[in-house]
Amino acid sequence: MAARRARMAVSRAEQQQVVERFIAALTTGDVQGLMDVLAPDVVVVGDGGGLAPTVRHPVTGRELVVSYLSCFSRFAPDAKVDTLLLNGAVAARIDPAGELDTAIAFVVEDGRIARIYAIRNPHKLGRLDAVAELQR
Amino acid sequence: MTDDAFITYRGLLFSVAYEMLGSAADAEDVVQETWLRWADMGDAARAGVRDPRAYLIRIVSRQALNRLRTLARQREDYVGEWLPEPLLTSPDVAEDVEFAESVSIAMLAVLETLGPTERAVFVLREGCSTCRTTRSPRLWANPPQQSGRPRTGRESTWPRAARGWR
Repeated sequence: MAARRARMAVSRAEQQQVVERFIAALTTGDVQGLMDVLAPDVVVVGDGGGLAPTVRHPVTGRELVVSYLSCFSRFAPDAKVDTLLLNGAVAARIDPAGELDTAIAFVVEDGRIARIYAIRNPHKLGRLDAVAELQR
Repeated sequence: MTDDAFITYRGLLFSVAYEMLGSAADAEDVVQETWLRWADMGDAARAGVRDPRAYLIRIVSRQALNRLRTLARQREDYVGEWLPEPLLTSPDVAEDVEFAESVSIAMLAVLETLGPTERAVFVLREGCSTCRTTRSPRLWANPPQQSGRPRTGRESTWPRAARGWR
């Protein structure tokens, strides 16, 4: 438990910095930039719910993930990608045509991205405009 | 004035339900059901509740557990990987490291691999850290034995799933 907590205690500033590096590399198709910001055993998990295309099964390993992500800037050259706070962590939203299309959550570890969760199911993207009343 | 305690703890109840279900829409339904129960009790019964917070957490957990059992069957038919419904959160949540962890997408994705009862135990004992300070929520007719973890045959995977969420 203690180890898990320690791993999680990545400051928001560090999360923000890593996620911004990722977004910059993603939107410019910078293969080396992606390689640098992703952990070697990075995993991408996608949820389209059968309603939006995404990876059907988790994609594991930096080379595979980079080859998958490096096409992004060609497929969606004008996509707007911004950071926001989702579920208590720095995340990203992609708005290709001015409309929310994908929410991306990350696990940041040792200054690199260890996990990418891409949520594309449109039924799950309805609550990103108002802050949720989470309270402990 | 009947719903004072409910309003005070609404955010907490929503958080417990959301951690249990990974879905804001379902969590809201469950919180609504909890309110109905609370309102139906009548003034005298409500006034007799010594610890409204613990009591409300108990109701919301039971309702969420029922909902989760239904959802678990539906999610078996889900196309591809299932991930939680993300929520926009305030900077306060991000600053609270322990709370941010318990509502993180990564944690909720791992919780999805647990059975409904295991998940309820985990959320109430580990995820929802403030719930631990309340009297043990009696969710089960037969309370879990000494360790507080259900013996379901998945026990060996339990701590691993919980720790291996990243």
